[in-house]
Amino acid sequence: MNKNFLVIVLGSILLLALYILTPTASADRLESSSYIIQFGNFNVTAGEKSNANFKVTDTVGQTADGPYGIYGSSNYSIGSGFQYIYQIGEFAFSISDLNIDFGELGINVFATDSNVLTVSSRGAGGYIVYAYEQHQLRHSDGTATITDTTCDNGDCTQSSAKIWTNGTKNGFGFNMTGDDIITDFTNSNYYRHFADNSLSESMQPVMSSASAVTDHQATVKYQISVNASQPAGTYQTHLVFVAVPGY
Amino acid sequence: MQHRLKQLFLWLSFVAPIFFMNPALVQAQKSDLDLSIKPTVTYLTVEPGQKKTFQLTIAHNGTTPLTVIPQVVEFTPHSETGTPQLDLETTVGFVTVQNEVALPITSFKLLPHTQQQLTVTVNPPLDIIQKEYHLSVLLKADAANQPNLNLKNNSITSAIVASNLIALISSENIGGGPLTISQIQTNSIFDSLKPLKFKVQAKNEGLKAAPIKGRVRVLNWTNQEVASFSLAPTMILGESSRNLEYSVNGSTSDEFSYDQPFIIGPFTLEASLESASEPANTIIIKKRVLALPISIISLFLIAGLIYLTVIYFRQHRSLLPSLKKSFNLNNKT
Repeated sequence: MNKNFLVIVLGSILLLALYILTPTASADRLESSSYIIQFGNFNVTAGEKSNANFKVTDTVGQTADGPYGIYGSSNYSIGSGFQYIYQIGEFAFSISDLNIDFGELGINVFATDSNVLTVSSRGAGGYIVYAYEQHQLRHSDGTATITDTTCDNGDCTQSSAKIWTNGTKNGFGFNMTGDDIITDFTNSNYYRHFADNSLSESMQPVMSSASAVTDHQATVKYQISVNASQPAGTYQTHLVFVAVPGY
Repeated sequence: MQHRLKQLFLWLSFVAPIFFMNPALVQAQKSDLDLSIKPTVTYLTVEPGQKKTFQLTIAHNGTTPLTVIPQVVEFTPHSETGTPQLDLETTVGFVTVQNEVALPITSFKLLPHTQQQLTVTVNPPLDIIQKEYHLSVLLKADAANQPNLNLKNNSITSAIVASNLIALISSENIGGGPLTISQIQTNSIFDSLKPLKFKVQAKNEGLKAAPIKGRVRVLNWTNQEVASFSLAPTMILGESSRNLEYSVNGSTSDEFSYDQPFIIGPFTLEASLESASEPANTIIIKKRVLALPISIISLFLIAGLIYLTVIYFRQHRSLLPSLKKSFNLNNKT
């Protein structure tokens, strides 16, 4: 009897847990304590459909779908209906870590750090991300700089990545791996230096896509090496990533 | 049996709730800076001397408080990709950014998990040059609390996110385009064993942006269509050029490709564009190309050359020893 009672109690606890923890599904309920949706409707069909040649989203059965007015011919334009959500889609850009810390620098050995750039662009025309530095890494007293790298053979620039694996070739540069990166980052040994704004060098594209993307990520690896003649002290610079959606 | 059932119930009562935990409680690693801006592009027509406004919303889902500085600059669309090429040195005096109470702002704080609505006002003066201005509203975000810079070798990173503004300043009611096709970029002669690839550049000769609508076809020597590409409805801004694109594998590409195991003979590349303002007027440009088995011919030529060389030396066997002798003499000296 005691055993049966225990089984019943445990079973009841389990059912209670299922009841409490399962989210409630409310059909045809278009209001809450903070909003009421007027003109809500159930649609005949909706969602994303695709095959090898196309991808389309639709909503069938909504009320008062637009457009109303037109760009250039009237003084208003309204995109009415669920499909117009794609025209007000957002553009998102994130940087995982804003502070790139190289710590104490050894002589003729690389110090590295990295962060991750993430882009989501739902609108037409894709996106592009540019990068530049305000100036070369500069001593805190402004007297000395760590030059931008020219890589192992002295041939990499702000717009062309080359191999940089030799720590005795001093300087500061970056490599990128991941989605939508510029093609001259052939592998993790290829580096560029940043376009230097103080020398009026134009910022350079580092990531781009012609299509809408969601959470496309690229890892930026920063690399630096100095020699024994580099004045002791702390060096800083300011890097800027400019993320621009298409149109 | 009862003992086993009891054990099963005990096990389930501990394990089952796990399956009903809200998945949203599992959180991905957060970024210092995580900005989103909408809308991504705004098209406006404004008469000189008049004023129009629209709203921009910027949201921050990162972990670091930010200081945001708005700036409006001009951009030039790339002549092939259409990508905005910003000119950060420009200033646009007739576009201003205000906060939600219509006061001009030079900077504002954006805390984690908050958003800011901005009002962008376009107010061109009466004497402005009437054309379509290609602008980007930039929001430059830096960490509000910079780390102590004096103690570390480091780089501070900041971000600028943009929302594009295509502002047609005009006192007249004008339509988009007209669009023309500048060129079909391709070689005139192709190897039969390689894909036939080409790009098509279109130009907007008018002041106002126009959407691309049309298609590109590949026709064989009998004028039969062997490939057809529907163009992606991208925009060509006023007085600018852009490569036509088509959708492929969920993405878009500006390189059209007709790929067959073997193609030979003359082909016609045909690009047709419908004018947005005058749909009845369709622009059609054609280009003839020729597919020849170049690699096969080259292979036969090389093989023939080798064969002839072998034949020649067989017929002139006496040459070989003297050649060998002269070669050995050269090596000894």
